[in-house]
Amino acid sequence: MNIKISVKYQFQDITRALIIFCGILLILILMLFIPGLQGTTNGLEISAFIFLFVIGLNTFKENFGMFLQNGVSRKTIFAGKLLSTCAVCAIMAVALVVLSNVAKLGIGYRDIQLGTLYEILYTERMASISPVLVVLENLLLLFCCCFAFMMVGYFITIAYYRMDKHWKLLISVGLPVLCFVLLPIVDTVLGGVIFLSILRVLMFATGLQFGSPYICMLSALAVTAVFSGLSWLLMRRAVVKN
Amino acid sequence: MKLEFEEERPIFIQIAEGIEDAILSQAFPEESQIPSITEFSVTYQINPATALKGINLLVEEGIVYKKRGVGMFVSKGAVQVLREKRKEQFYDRYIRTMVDEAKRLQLSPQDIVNLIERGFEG
Amino acid sequence: MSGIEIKQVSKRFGDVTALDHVNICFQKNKIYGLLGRNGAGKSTLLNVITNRIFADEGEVLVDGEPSVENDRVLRKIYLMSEQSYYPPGMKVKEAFQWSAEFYPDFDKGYAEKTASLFQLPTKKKIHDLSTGYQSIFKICIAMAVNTPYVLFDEPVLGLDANHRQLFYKLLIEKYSDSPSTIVISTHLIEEVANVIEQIIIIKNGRIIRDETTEELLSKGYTVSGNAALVDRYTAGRKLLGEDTLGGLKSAYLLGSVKKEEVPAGLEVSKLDLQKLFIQMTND
Repeated sequence: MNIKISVKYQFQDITRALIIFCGILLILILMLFIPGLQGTTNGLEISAFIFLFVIGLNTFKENFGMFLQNGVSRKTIFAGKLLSTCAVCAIMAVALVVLSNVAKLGIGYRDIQLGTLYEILYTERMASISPVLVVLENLLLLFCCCFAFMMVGYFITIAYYRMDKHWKLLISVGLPVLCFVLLPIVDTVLGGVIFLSILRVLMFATGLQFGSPYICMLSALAVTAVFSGLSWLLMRRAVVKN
Repeated sequence: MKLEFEEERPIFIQIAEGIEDAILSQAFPEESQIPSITEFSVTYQINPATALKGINLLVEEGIVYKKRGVGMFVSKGAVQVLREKRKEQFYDRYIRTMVDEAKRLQLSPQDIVNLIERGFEG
Repeated sequence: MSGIEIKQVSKRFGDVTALDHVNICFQKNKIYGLLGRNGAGKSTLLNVITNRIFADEGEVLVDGEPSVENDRVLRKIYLMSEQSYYPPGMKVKEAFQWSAEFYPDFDKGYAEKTASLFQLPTKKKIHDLSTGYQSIFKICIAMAVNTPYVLFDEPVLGLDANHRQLFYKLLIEKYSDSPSTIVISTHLIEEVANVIEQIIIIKNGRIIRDETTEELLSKGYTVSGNAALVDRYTAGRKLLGEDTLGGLKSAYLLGSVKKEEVPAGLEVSKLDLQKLFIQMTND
């Protein structure tokens, strides 16, 4: 009963931003139909991922207060978040496939390179399977990645919500320093071992190593599961703030 | 019916007395319907339970009676009952306080009688 | 067991004990006044009841069920809080629409009627309303929500005298038509004294009084007159406090008065709620 309204509220909260985002992408793609344009484009999916990450960052605090005001429990809020995210990611995956095909029509045989993430990562596999399967795998892959990005954003915002001033400062300063200063220095000292292993993990996790999108899907789902779990642990005891 | 609540006595008694005053002054004639609990509580901004308690005092004394599903009415003969009751209260309420004040002012009983006569003339 | 039962509830914020083993029962269909000075723990208690925060100890039962993370229970309670938790960009009428989704018994027509009585602009964003109108906006929802338990935390904050009157009038009207359990948390005692049936006084996180308004009022009285006479009378009696004006003195006493014991020349009057409250909650 309450779960329905929880899903509905959180879904409608995103729809407007989602429509605007897709609208802007469409306008950009339609510009490809202007003759004489040259270049490469493959940023469609990446921009969608970033968009969902930001959406994840912005959909906790206001909703949480509104739900507690209206007698919805934390577990129902969270279940609603997962279900509404499913819907949003499914819509996004379909939209991306449609948009990239529209883009291809626009390019025609002109001198513009356009590749979807799937085409770039799994070129060999694409040639060996049926086009229908490609579309299906592409949809699934996009769905899983969208979900992962959204939940990472959601986790970060809840983590910040739960942290007090000192922790916020520590993380906000400490994390960038760790990643962009300390890590490169240590890496240089160690002769590039760290970045090499990060690269290996990425090669493995994206399935690039085996040319399989399913490994990438599994990795994305694992990220989703981990960050959803962490989000729930933090949200379980979250309280209203002034 | 006008009521200015004072701190001295409980509100429900003041409500009952307000209705009594209205009955005595014929504002609520005998056999006529009096306002509902809700109307009393909304008008005077008091808890309905308090208004009910006040009116129940009058119901117990037979001054007001309830008709199921219709409302509350002033009983026949209520004015007479009230006059008798008020006469009994007259001594406690007015004479006692008057005599206390008279003592403070050092007025003699004859002084008071004179003043009372003046009051009736005026 | 119906009603809201608060059992041994404690809550600390750092070193501050906001609630200290609080036990209260809010019975069905009564109007309660939750009175206390600022910072006494009123809002904390209401936030614990609605599970917006967690108690450190103890539990809250609503109609026999614990309120923690319980949708069925939480939907029975509406808390109009001082703080607004509605999205700032939301319009008043959108908030009415959503309230109808969250609370199946929400009466949108009634909310709109109340809004027009208060001249609340429903097309405006909540964010853009003045402090007084933000309170009114929340009042409109609380009045129309039709849950068995409605809690008001400082409801008349920022309201002018006319709007306060209107609020109390509507509240009594609504309560007479369809009774529910109403809790009004406030430090403005005089305004609510006639409206509430039961008074709960909270001081430094502890419940120091929980009784009917009448009972409480019968617990104290004022004796005033010649200072020497007053002093002689108050000796050995439970004195709450006193005010002196030249040779005159008013003494506030606890207990019931026996008129024959009061010497002639002294006046006995009832203690008003405001005085009683101030005397009881003074540090």
